[in-house]
Amino acid sequence: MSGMIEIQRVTKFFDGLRALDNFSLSIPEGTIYGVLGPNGAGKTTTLRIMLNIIEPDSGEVFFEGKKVTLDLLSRVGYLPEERGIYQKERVIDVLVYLARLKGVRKGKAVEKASELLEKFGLKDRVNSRVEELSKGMQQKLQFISVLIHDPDILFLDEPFSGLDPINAELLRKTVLEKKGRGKTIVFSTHILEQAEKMCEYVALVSHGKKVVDGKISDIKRTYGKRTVKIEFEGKGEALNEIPHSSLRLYERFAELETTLEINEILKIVVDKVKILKIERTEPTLNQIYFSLIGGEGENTYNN
Amino acid sequence: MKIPIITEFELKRVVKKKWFLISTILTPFLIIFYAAFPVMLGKAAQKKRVIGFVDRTGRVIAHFSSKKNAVKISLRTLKSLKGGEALLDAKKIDCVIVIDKNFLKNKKATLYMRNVADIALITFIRSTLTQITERFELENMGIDPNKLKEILREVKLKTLKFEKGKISKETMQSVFVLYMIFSMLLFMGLIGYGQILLRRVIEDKRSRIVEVLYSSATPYQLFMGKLLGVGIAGIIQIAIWLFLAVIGYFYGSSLLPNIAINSFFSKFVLFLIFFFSGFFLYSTIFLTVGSLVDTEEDAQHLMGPIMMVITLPFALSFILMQVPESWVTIFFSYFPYSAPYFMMMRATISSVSIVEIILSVIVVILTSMGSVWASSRIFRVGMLHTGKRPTISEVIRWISK
Repeated sequence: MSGMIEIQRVTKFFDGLRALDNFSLSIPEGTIYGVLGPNGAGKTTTLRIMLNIIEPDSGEVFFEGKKVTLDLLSRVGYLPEERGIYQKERVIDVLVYLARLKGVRKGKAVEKASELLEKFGLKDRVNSRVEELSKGMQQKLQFISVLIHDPDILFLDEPFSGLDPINAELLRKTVLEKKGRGKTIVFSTHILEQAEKMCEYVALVSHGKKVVDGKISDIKRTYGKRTVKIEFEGKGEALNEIPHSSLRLYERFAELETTLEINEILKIVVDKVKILKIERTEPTLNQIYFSLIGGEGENTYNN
Repeated sequence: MKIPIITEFELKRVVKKKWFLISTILTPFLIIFYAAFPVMLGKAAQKKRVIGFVDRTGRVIAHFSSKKNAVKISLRTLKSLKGGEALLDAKKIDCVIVIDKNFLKNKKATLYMRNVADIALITFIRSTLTQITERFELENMGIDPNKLKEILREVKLKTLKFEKGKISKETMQSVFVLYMIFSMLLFMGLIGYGQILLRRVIEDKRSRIVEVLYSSATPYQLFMGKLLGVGIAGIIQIAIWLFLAVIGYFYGSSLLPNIAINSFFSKFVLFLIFFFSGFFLYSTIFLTVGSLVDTEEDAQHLMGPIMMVITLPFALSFILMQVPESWVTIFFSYFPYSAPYFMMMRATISSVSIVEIILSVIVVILTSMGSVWASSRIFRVGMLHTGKRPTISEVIRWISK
């Protein structure tokens, strides 16, 4: 299936350093898509290139099979990682301006701004200057500025960083609501647990290269180490007889990676130890990420 | 079309602010103050001074007097310097002149003053005493001082401005004031609005809102919208000043006594043309600097030397005013960065053909277009560039890429 957004073999250099290397992505319509990786992996660059903010040195980006133009971008809402907004201007003026730049007529923009300000509890702040708003309120104002033209695609760069729990929940709900209405959401994060909870599709990125992408469930099936946890009584050495790639053996507990199904494992050990509990655990994205890129990734994260 | 939306927003950002109103009202007063300052100084010199006089020759004081238009004085004869000291302390007198017995021979006198910076008074006393010694010497030689004065009297030269086959009533003084007003407006407009642009660009860059804007409009649209918005704000302000000037003119301003209203308006039209084309030229400098730096502090460092260079044409135009038809002046009136000032100056002071004006405007407009092109390309990349300040070769690469 060809995606709503396609990045094809994009390469981008900054000051002679390769920020993206022959990078391709396909983002299906109506999904929440996570671009994941440590800081400096190339997530923001990927988003900026999709948004036509910067041009790739080679490669191309398509929206619905067409090359990205400003007209197409009027259907996009973008929340950058470093969020700023005009401080000295009035709330309503800023919102109407940003909406008009996305092609919304002035009257409609005013109407839509009032509606969203009310929804986000900022109704009485319409005529305030932005600098008079608290940090939390300014974050809400930024969400509104992204949503005001009712975009079909949302690009959110590290959207949860710096948010208080209330605004984080508000954003989460907003994103899910958008998804419910068939909109496409692309967001980048370095917190893989977060993506795991929200995304249907992900792309794991390291050093400007795509490590793996696709549906989370598919990735887990394909790349996840098949970990089996066993609680037992008896001589644990017997578990060595199970074909495995790694085994951690404790007094009454073992964790091993194996391709065998539980039934097959049971066949091998059933007469040797008393099995109290046996289960296969799902790998986390974190584990998959590190297993795919090895120590290199860990170094990146630690840096 | 996005440029009009951006222009409207940037324009409102300027004109809806309190300081815009304040500067619109204050600036004409400042200009009038600068233009009228020499006159006010002259008035201050007319305050009456009391001079204590110790005349040991007994012959000088009788001839010490002040004619009209000079410093107003009254004399107080003193027997000695001692008596004068108390009067000086009590501020009863402004100074004490001591004329020694052989003053007429050695031409030396002493002046004791409370305020030694009163140059008008010092100059007056020196010249009056010199005239007195001259008078005595001439009389000794048997020459009638009045006759000599008549012989040495300067020729009176009436200076009238000749323009387009007509003799205009404009005098040197009135055209000077006119150029002073226009050039100051030009200078304040070009530099002042350039600095507003600089701050706007830095704000957009620092707050990173530029990323959101770049996903809604092209860098070129943003660049032009900003330039036009702030430029129009400048035009609005100047239009208000013009309105005030016209009111002032009809209610009898003594500043421009001999300037005909149509001459004033033709100069004003010229001013608007040069303001707008020059605005693009100068503003692109500020926009470029703004997109290259991260903070206003960095911008100040970079702007320091640039400001010195862009102030130069304004200052030079006053120096070269005395030679409006020299090749240097003509050269500067075609050099893009100085043309707005120098063409204005030449058109005001002497007479310039319309062809020359058009040629100079074309030079300015073409250079403006070139610098808008180059600057917008720097802006495009520079606005997203943070951290290390780019090198000149990097900036050139941005332009050419």
